[in-house]
Amino acid sequence: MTRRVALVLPLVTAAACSSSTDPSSPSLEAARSASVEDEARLIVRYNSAITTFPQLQAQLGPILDEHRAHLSALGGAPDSGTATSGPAVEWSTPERAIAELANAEKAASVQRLDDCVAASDAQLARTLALIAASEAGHVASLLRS
Amino acid sequence: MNHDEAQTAVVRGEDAAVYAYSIAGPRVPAQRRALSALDAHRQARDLAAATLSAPPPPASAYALPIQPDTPTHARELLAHVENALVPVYADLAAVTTGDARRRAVIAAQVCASRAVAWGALTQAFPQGQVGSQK
Repeated sequence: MTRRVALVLPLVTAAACSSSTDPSSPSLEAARSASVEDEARLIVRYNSAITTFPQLQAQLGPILDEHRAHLSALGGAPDSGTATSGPAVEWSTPERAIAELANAEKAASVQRLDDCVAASDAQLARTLALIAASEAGHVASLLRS
Repeated sequence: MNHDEAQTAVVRGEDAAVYAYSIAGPRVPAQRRALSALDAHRQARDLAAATLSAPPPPASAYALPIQPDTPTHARELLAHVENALVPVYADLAAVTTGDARRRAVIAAQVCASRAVAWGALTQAFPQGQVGSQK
């Protein structure tokens, strides 16, 4: 089973069980689109850091992939987070890049928590809770380095 | 899954974490961190149990997916039980709202952070995995 199928299956199953699912709900859309935009911004930052400091690829590449998986699970377009989504970020040193990414992840994990609380759809809330936890893990991982 | 089912899963998951920390905690070098996490899991277990009219009793023993026979394996077991709690709290977040949901998400975040601190690789959608260590 591919990673993608493994992700989507529980989403579909739980959505089928949820009576509160209403795709047209405004708060569902607001929570989802805020998260999609934020994930796209994070992807830009990671791409920028890896382009500027290729030696960070091994450390940052897996985290970048995880943000792409978040974006995909939230229904974001796969090309979100390319250079057209925002300005490239200037980094002075690799250490500085890691520290700033850790700060960005910290802000993202708080934002995802708020998005989750705002979500009216139960399945979206579950997905955002997992993403919020993943981003908290990213903070721990970046600060450990 | 309804609220009681989600809280029951939290009680069971926290009981398993308390058991794992009791066995593996003394075998890792980071004693203070292990003791503080053990205490946090005990409190989380009690908080979840208090929401239920008939909380499940702790098992006398749990099957450990990793035998904590070395400090490395002990860390792997602790990382595993922490990551295994993340989807359990995400399930609770799905069936709660407001402050209760906020607490569930923060619990999921703390568990995921602890897993990474014990050496787990980060995951896009954290869950318990055997053999996902750095």
